[in-house]
Amino acid sequence: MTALHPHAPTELLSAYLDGELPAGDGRRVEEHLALCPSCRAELTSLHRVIDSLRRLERTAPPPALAQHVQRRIALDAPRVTALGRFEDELARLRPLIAIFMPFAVVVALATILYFFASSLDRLENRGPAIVIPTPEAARAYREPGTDVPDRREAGGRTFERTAGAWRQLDLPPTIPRTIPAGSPEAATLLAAHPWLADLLVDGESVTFLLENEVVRLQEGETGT
Amino acid sequence: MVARAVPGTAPVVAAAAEAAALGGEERALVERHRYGDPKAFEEIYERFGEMVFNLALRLSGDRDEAADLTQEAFLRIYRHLGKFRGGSSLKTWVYRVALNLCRSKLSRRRPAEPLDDAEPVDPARGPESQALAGDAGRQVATALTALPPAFREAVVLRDLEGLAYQEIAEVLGVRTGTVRSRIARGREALRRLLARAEESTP
Repeated sequence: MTALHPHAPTELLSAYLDGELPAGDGRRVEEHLALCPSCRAELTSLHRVIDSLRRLERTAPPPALAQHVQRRIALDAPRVTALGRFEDELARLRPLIAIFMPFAVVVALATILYFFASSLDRLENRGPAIVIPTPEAARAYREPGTDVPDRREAGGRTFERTAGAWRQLDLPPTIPRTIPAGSPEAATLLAAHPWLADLLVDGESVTFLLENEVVRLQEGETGT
Repeated sequence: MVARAVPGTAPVVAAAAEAAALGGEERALVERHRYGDPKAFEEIYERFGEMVFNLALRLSGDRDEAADLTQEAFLRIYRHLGKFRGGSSLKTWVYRVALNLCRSKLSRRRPAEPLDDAEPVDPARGPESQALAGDAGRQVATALTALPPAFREAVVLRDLEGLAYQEIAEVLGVRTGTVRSRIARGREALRRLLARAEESTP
């Protein structure tokens, strides 16, 4: 404790009156009081307050209170006894609970995680709302009302027929050279590739790759 | 009274080991209650009934309310005594149960007083009780009820109930330094309230 200058704090004087100061602090307070009339007056004033409190008479509880308490308890006792039994049971089970609780927590967490993950999975598998077609799907798509594409294998290639026109799949994106079906070149082609005639039976034209060139054999066009 | 505990189910060993702070007599009393001896609780009321009633009276400032609070406090003591493991003395524990009850009930009755003591007499107590405060004892009792609850509790436990600082610290659940400060500030506030009351008395 530092020097009591200029005066002893009321808290110290109050504790001093209660005899609750450590011996060293008590001595310091006494030394200070011997020299300081102001603190002595403060001490007396505090003492007076304490004295007036201690003179407050103690009041006997109403005589009927004991009976009231007993009656309340008698009403409450069955509940307390039942509760007590439950608590005793709980106390006996506590070691078991302590052992199994971590497992229970792990299982609960795992279950929650599982359902969470599977719900995410379901969300993913629902697929995107906007379907971006693959090139093949885009090619296969036709406006409603037009012919459904028809596929056929011919001459070791795959052809697809749309609106009466056969077209070999996977052709390079170039404008085909048209060969009229009645032209001599067409006759040569038909002789060399008999499958062309088969296709032309069911269509009006056949577009295909002929030695690195895309050509269209077209019926109804006359050669010049 | 009806027995609370079921004989043979009480955790005797644990209780005995933890009851280091209990005196032998108090420990025996608690054990008898735990084993369902109705006389044990009667003894507890005889021993602490007056103490709890006076505490409630000084904290509430009203006899009827103090009687209700005492009844309620002993019901709580009855319910929880079986679980009392003797971490403190039985007296300190009973005070703590009673004080906590008074706090919760009285804080509902009126809003918490501000920590400065600008109002010498609680206005909620009405002109009648203020007029009666002429008598010195009544003046002190009235001033006491006007103290902020934290100071009132500390002062009542020290100056009316005569508890040591360490015991008060256990009852209130605070450090002894806080107890020392609250008691001093409570006494200072009381001194001012009483001085003002004296001035206003013709």
